[in-house]
Amino acid sequence: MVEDITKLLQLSEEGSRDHHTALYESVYSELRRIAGRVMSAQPQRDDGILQPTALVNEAYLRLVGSHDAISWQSRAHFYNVAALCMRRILVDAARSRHRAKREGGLLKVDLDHSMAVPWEHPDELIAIDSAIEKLSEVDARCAEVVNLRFFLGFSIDETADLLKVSTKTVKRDWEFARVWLEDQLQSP
Amino acid sequence: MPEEQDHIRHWRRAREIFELATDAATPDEQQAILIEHCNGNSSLRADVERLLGLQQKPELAVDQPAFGMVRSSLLTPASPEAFLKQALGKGRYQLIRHIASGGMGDVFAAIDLKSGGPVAVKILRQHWLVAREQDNVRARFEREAASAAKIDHPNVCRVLDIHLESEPAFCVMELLEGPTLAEHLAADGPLMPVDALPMVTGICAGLQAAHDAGVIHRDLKPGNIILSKDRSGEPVIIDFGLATALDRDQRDLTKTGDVIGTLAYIAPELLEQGGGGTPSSDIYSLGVILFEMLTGAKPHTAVSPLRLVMQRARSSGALPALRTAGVPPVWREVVERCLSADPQRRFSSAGQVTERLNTRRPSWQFQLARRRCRVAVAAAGLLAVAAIGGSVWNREYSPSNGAAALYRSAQNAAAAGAPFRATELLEQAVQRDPDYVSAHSLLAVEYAELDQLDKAREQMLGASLARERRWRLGPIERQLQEASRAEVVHDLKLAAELYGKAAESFSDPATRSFATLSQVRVLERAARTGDALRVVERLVKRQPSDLAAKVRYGRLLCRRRRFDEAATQLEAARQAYVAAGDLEGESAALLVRATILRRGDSASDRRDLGRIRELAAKTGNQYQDLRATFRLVMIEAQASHVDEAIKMVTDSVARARALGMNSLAASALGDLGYALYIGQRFEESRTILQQAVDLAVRSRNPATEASNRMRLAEVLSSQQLRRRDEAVRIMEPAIKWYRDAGYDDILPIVLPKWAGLLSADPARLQESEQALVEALRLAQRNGEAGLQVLVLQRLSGIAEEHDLRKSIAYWDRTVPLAKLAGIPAVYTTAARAHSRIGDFVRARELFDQVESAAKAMPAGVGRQILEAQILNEQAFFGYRLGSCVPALRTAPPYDSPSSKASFTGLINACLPAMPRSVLERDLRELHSLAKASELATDRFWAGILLATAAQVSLRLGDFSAAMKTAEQANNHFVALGYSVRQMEVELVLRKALRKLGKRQRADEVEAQVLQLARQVGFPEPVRSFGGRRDLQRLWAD
Repeated sequence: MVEDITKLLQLSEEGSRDHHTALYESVYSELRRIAGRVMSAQPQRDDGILQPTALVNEAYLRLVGSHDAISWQSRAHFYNVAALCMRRILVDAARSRHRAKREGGLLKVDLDHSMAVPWEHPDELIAIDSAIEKLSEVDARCAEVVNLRFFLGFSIDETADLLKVSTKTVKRDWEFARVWLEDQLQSP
Repeated sequence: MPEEQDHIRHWRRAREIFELATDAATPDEQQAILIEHCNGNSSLRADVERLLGLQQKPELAVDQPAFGMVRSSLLTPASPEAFLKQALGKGRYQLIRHIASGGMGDVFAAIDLKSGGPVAVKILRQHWLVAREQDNVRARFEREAASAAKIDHPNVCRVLDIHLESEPAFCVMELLEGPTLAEHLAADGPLMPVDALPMVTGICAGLQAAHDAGVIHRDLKPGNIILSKDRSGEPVIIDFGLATALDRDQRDLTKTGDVIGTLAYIAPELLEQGGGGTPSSDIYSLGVILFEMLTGAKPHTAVSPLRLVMQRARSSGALPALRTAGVPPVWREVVERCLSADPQRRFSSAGQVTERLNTRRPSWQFQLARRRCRVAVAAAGLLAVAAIGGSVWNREYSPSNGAAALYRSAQNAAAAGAPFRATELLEQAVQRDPDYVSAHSLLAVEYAELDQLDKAREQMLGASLARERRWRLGPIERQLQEASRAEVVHDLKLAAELYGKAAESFSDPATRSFATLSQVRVLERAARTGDALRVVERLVKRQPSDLAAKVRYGRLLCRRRRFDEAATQLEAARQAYVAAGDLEGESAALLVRATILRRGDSASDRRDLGRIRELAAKTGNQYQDLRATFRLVMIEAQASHVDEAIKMVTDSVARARALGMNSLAASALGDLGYALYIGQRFEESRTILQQAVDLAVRSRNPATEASNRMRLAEVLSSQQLRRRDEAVRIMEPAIKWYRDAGYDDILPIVLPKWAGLLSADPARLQESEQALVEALRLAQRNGEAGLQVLVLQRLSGIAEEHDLRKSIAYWDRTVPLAKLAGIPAVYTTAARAHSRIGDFVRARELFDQVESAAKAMPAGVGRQILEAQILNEQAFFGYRLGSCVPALRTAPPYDSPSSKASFTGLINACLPAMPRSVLERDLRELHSLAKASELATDRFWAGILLATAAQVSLRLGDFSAAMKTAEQANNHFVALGYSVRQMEVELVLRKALRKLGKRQRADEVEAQVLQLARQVGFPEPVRSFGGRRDLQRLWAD
C-alpha cells in the first residue's frame, strides 16, 4: 500500500492523468472511511473532537507512511489532493442532507455506520463549494489556500509551508478569498 | 468565451486594487487609490468597495473550517442543564446538581426520595443507547449490569438501580465525593511507590471482587477511579460492567486527544482482534494505570492512535521510562507483566498483583522470561533479515563523514576521565552521522556520567531511532547499545552482564578494552569491587599498554586497601601519560591518587590536586577541575579549616550546578557534611547535609540522595544532636530505596545503622533485630567477614541487654570472624560480655589478644581509640584501675564532656580516684545530659547516664539522691526490656537502700536481682558480680 501510494504520487506529479485519478480515488476512499467513523462516533468532550488536520495526517500516515523517501513535492501534492477529497466528502454529505431535508425525512448518511446526522445548513456548504470553483478561475492559488484552510483546517503557517510561499502571500490570498467568497454567497 | 474571460479579468483587476487599498494607511489614502486605479470604472469600484466593506464583518462564511460547521451542529451534546430539576424514575430520584460528563452520559448528584439518601444518577447518552438496541448487545449489557449491581465491595461503586426503558434512560449508583485518580495525578504528579501501594491494593481488591462475580470492567482508567473522601481516600472503581465491546469499537482510531487517552488503557489484543474483554484485558489496563501512577505519564505516547498501536505492538518488553523514573524493580516487574502484549504472561488475577508487590525482589522466573523474550526478539529480527535476503548480516557499520574517528577520540577521552570533551566529540559524531548507534549510546553513557540525565535519555532515544532507521545492527553495535541502555537506566546487573558478553565476543582489542572497562566501571558502581578487580586485573595483564585500565586498576586496588600496589600502578600510568603528553590522562591518574589512595599525607594530596587544577586550566576539563576542587575542600575540612572549606564548596557547588552536574555537587556536599561531623562541627554538618539531601532530591539522583540521607541521619542521631526521631524519618526512605533497588552490597552496611536507630524505640526493637539478621544474611552471602562481625556485634549487643546466653552464642561466632577480618577491637566488647556472665578466664584471654594487637598498631588516633576502648571495657569490671584516669583524659575523640558518658566503664572505675569537685561537676552534667536524652525520647542513653549518676551520688555519699536516680534509670531499662542493665542498676539501688537503712526494700530488690540474673543467664550468684576486689585479684599478674 505504502509503495503503491508513493509511486502513484510520483507518477501523478509527473502529469499522468490516470495516475492522478487513481491517487485521488485512494485518498478519497481512505478519508471517507475515516470521516465516516468520526461522524458516527460520539464526542466525549469538546477538546476530544477530531480536527480535520489530524484526520488528514492520519490518512497520510496510513497511505504514505512515515517514509522519508517521499519528497516534499509529493507531500504537498498529497495534501492538495486530500483537501479536494475532504471537500468532496463534505459537500457530498451536504448534498444528500439537503436532498433529504427537501424530502422531509431524517437523513441516514451512508457512511460506515448508520447514524442520524443533524445538519443545519447543508445548502451553505454547497454554495461555498461552487463559489470556490469560480474563485479558482480568478486565482488558482487563492482557491488552493481556501481548500487547505477551510477543508483541512490548516493554519496560515501550515498553508504557507505546504505551498512553499511566504506567510504574507498566504495572508493576502486568504484575505481576498474570504471576502470574495462571502460576497459571492451574498450576491450569487 | 469572451464574456467569461472578461469576468475573470475583471476580478483579477479588482483583486489588485483591493490589495493596494488594504495596504493604505488612512481612509483618505484608500479613497485616493480607488479613484486612481478604478479610473472611472464604476462597477469595478463598487465591487472593490463592497469587498473592503466585508472585511469589517466579524465572521465570514469560510472563517470556521468546514469541519467546524459539522462539529458545531453535529457534535454538541445536549446541555446537562436541560436535565436539572427533573425527578426521574417516577419521581423517585430528584436531580440536584451536575457532577461530570463522561463517555456514556452526564452524572448528577441526586436524592433518592424514597430512602432520603444521596445517590448519583447517570443519564445515558442517546447514541450509546442506540448502539445498545442492536441484537444481542442489549441482552448482554443487561446481564452484566445486573451482575455488577450484585458486587458488594468497598472498592467498587455500587450500582443501585437501572432504568433502560425510561426516557431518558439512566442508572443510579452510590454517590462518591472525591477527586478521580486522574485528577489526583494531574494535580499532585506521580506517586512514590510507598504511597501508590495502598491505592493499588484497593484497586486490585475491587477488580478481583468484580472478576470473581464474572464482571469485566473494559474501561478501567484513572478517570474511572474515585478517591473517596468518605472512605479516607480509598480508591473506588466506578462504571463496572457499563462499558461494552461496542463502545470500544466505536471509539475511533483516528481521533486524537481524549480518545488516545482512552485507547492507551485498552489491551492490545482487543484492539487487534476485538472481542468482549477478559479479566486479563482489565489487568492490562491496571498496568497502564500503575505506570501512570508511578511516572505521571502513559507507557506509550504517540501523536496519533495509529502510531500508538504500532508502538505498543513493538515494545512490550523493557519500559525504560520506569527505570529512569527510579521505579523499584518489583514495581517495574509488576507493571511490565501487566503490560505484556501476550495475555498469558500477565498476572492471572488482580489479587496476584498485590501479592507480588508485597514481596520484594523480582522473581527469577520473570528475569529468565525477560531474557528469553529478548532472545526471541533477536531471533525474530534475524528471520526478518533473512527474509529480505540480508547479505549485510555480520558486517560492521562504517560511519560516514569521519564520525568513526571522532568516536575513537571520544572513547579515549572518556577513558581518560574527560567526559566533557567526550561529549563534545560525540555530539559532532552524531551530527555527522545521525545513524551512528554506537556514538549515540556512548554519548548517553557520558551524559549520564555527567548527571545530565535528560540529555542521556535523549541520546538513548537517538540510538533507538537510529537503530530503527538502520533497520538492523551489527552484533558489536547492538550489544554495546543494549549495555549502555542498561547502564543509563541504572540496571547495573544487566549492564555488567551485557558489557562482559560484548567484551568476550569482540576480536578487535580496542573495542574489547572499551567494553571491558565499561564492565568494570559498572561493577564498581554496583559496589561489586571484588568482581571489578578481577576483570580489570585480567585486562591489565593482557593489555599492559592500556593506561586507562591501569588507572582503573589502581583505583580498585585502593578500594581493597591494597595501597602499595595501587600507588605503583598509578605512578606507572601517570609517567606513561606524561611521556605521551596526555594532560587529561595524567590528571586522571593524579585524581585517583589524591582522592582515594590513603597516603596520610595531605601535603602530597594538595600538590597533586594543585597540579590537576593547573592541567585543567590548560585542557579546559571542568570535570577534573571540579573533582579536584571538591577533594581540596575535604582536605581543608579535615585540617579544620572549616570556614575555608565551606566557602570553597559553596563556589564549586554553584559551578557544578551551572554545568548541570548536580549529583556531583550533591555528593560533594555530602562528603563535606560528613567531614564536618567527624570534625565535631555538628550543627554545620547538619545544615550542609540537609542541603546535600535537597540537592540530590532536586537532581533526581536516588543513589546520592540515599547516601546523603544516611549521613544526615547519622549526624542527627549522634549523641550531640540526639534528634533520633528526625533521623528515623530521614533514613527510612533511604533504606527503603536500597531495599527496593536490591542493593545487596550496600544493604549489609546500611541496615545495621538503621537497626541502631530503631533499637532506641522499644516498639521497633523487633524490627531492628530483623534488619540485623537480614544484614547478616547478606554479608554472609557476599563473603564479607568484616561486615558480618559488625552485624554480629550489634546482634550480640542487643542480646546482651536481655539474654546473656544468646549474646555469648553470637560472640562465639563473631570472634573467629573478627580474627579473619582483622578487627581486634571487637574482642573488647566480647570480653565484656564474657565478664558479665562471670567467665573471666575467657575475658582475660580476649583482653590479652586485643592488647597485643593494639601494641602492634602504628601510633595514631586509631590506636588511641582502641586503647581507650580496651581500658573502658576493662574498667567496667575493675581491671587495671590505675591507668583509667589518664586514659579518660587522653582518649580522643572522647574528650568532650558529653562523650564521657559513653565511657561509663571508665567513669565507674575512676570514681574512687576522682576529687569531689570533679564528681560534683560531672554529676550536674550527667543529669542535664540525661534530661536532654529524655526529651529526645532516647531512653537507652537516659538510662545509662542516670545509672552512672546514681553511682556518682553513691560515691558522694548522697544516698537518697542515688536511690532516686537509680530508680529513674531502672524505669527506663524496664521500659526498654533491658534486663541486664536493669539488674546492674538495681544493684546500685540495693546499695543505696541499705545505706539508707531500708532493709526490707533492699532485700526485695536483691530478690528481684537474683531472679533477673537467672532469667538473663547469669550463672554465678549476684554477690560476685561487681566485686571489684575479687576481680582485681583474679586478674592481677
